[in-house]
Amino acid sequence: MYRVMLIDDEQSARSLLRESIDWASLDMEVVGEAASGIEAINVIDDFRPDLAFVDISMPFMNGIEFTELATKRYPNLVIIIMTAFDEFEYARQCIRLPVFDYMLKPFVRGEVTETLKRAKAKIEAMGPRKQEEEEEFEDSSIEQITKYIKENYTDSKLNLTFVAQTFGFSSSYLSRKFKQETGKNFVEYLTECRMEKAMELASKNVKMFVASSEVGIPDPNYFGRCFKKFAGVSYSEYQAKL
Amino acid sequence: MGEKKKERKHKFFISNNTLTVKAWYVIGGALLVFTVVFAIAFLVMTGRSRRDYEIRESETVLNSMSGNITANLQSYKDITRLVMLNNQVVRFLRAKSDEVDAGLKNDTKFGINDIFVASDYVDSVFIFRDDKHYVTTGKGVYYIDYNLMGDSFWQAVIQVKEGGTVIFMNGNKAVYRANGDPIITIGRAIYDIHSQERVGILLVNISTGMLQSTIQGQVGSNVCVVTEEGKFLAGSEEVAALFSDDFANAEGMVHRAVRGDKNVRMISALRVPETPLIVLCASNASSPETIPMETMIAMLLLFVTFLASISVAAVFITKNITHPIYELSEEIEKTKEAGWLKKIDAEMPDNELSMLKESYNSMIDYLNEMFTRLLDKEKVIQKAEMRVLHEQIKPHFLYNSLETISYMALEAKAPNVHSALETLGSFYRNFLSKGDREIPLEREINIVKDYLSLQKLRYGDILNDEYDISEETKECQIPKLILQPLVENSIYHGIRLTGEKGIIKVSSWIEDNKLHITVWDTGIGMTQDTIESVLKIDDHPTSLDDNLSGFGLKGTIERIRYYCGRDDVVKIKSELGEYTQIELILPLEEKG
Repeated sequence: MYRVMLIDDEQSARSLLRESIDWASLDMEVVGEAASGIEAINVIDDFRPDLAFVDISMPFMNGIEFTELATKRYPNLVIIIMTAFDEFEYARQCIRLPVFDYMLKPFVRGEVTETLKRAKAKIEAMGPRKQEEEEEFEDSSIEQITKYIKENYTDSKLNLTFVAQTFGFSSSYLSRKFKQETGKNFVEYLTECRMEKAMELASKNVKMFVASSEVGIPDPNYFGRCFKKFAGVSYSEYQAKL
Repeated sequence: MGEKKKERKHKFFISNNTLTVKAWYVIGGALLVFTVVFAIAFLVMTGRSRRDYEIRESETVLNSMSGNITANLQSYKDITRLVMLNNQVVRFLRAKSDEVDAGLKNDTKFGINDIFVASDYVDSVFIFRDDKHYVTTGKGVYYIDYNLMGDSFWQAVIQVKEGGTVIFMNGNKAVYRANGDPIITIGRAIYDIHSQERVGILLVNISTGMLQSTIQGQVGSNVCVVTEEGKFLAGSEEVAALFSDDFANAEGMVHRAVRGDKNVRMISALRVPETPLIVLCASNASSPETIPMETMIAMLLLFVTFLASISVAAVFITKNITHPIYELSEEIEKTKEAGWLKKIDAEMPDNELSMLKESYNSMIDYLNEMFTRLLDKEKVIQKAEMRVLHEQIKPHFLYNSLETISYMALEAKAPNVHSALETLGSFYRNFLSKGDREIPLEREINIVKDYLSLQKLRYGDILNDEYDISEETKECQIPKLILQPLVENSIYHGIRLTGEKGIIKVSSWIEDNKLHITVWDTGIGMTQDTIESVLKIDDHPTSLDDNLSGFGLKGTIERIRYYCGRDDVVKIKSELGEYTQIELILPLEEKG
């Protein structure tokens, strides 16, 4: 089963794609969704997709910016850009990106299925995923990494893969080791850092959209969800309580 | 009323003529006026010149005549002095009354004859003594009026002329010829040399022959000599007949125009000084030298110069004014033919006309600029309107809405609704795509397919669509949206009108390097008239409004023709009640 991730700010577009395509017959499954480029960067390491549908026009980080970043960090990721004709300028910029294909919205099932078949062939051609190798991991490494996270969490593009690449590990190895050493997921840890700062900002009566940028999640919608998950209440409720 | 109308018409005629005609009128008028004035001036001048000439001539003649007569008379007068020195005459005068006899008188007569023997035209010589004894050399009969002779008047005349002579006609009526021949009498008193007392009177009668001979030297026959009373003496009797009384009383020379039988002649008169003689001179009707040649030449030269300058003016006006105006007008006319505002290129003379040209050209510039501005503005407005249209359509909004509704349909387990929405989305995605004027045939076919499947949703089981698209034609570029209107036409003007299920078949193939596309339907067909009207090439392309208001077939055909740049790209075959086939034949562009 190949893993598919859907990145589109339109809920219905994601749902429609998830529902209308017969993924199973293509030996694929939709493993995750993201409503913005920012969210996608934060969650992509959890979903580890083989293929991503990216809508070109999204707020906070659009499909192009995301694609530029993703192709650097995930060289094997097959990206299919979704675009409407009135976004011609965007489409033009896509051409220089190493995307697998771009499709016109509104999509027609036949066309999508056709494209997915070709994408599958490409993934198959790349061969199976690399087996994880045992890597040298010093105890001080985790300390360095947590320190790095604490210093750099305001960078909205920070994620597991980026840190792993920075320190010279494979992302899966780092993920596993990080959990072992800290007892926490990498994303959980990063979000915790950001949310602690966010709570601090909230208490200073900083508006949510300002706080969201300052802690490195410039998508207030995703920030809001993270905050609620972490604090148990929404940002505004949290501020009201104080 | 009629008169007024006529006048108005006349005025209209003048004011309605071109500058050239008017200029010619003015020049013609000037020529006419000048000719008339010239003629009048000529006549007046020649008349005056002639009169002056005649007067001058007459003066010369008269002065010369008068001078000659005076000189002749003077010679007679001089001779009279000799009389007193003649012995016979002295003897006769000194003799006592009783001593006077025939012998003495005869001697005296001889003595007198001796004196006057050298003088011509002496008619007679009378010497009267105071006692009325007299001697005469005259032949013929003379009347002697002793009463008058003794009269103090006669005496007094002699005495006044102390030692001088006096001249009168016919012996002042005291002595005259019986036959009436006029004689000129020179009288003088005779004084005794010793006693210095007056002893007698001498009368010398001269015949008119003297005058005649004097006149003979004068030119022509237009002179004469008359007495104070106008009695003819010598010369032309015809001229003498023109005598008028006031000539006798006038001082110096008199000139008078006298109307003769045929023409007006001028009569000049002059009294010969100290005589009762008046010389007359009439102008010759046919004077050979009436106007001086120089005057004639000068006037003629003036006339020719004027004619020349008028001609030059006319040529100048034609060349420098009317001709350039015609050129100007022609150039302006070209604007109409050109269909755009053309500037004047023609060379204009460097004067007001070139100013006019410059002004016109700058106006044209201004107008062109204004038109361009208006056109640009219109384009901007049109663009804005197009944008508003696009904004209204907002594909993105449409697509997102379609997706949302599609998902709702899926959730509600209505896959057919989902399919319909998918088709609609696909149709609009192709239909609204901007940027591309040309698309591959395959995409156009997809539009048609989507369109027809949506129409099938609307009208149910109304038609079957079939496609026979040759593989090699799929990538051929064709103008966007040329098949959809044809298919639409097949439905609305073909199949739907039959009330039965129909077939629409779209085929394409390549033949002779040309792309052939046919849309064939089993509709009601078209009449030949309809086909012709659809295929007719209009000078004025169908406006956008016509295009929008229904019969899109004609507009589409025009669009294809415009795209291909030729008119023979569409063929229509039809049989009423059977079928209609519209065939597009598009030349393939050479690739490479």
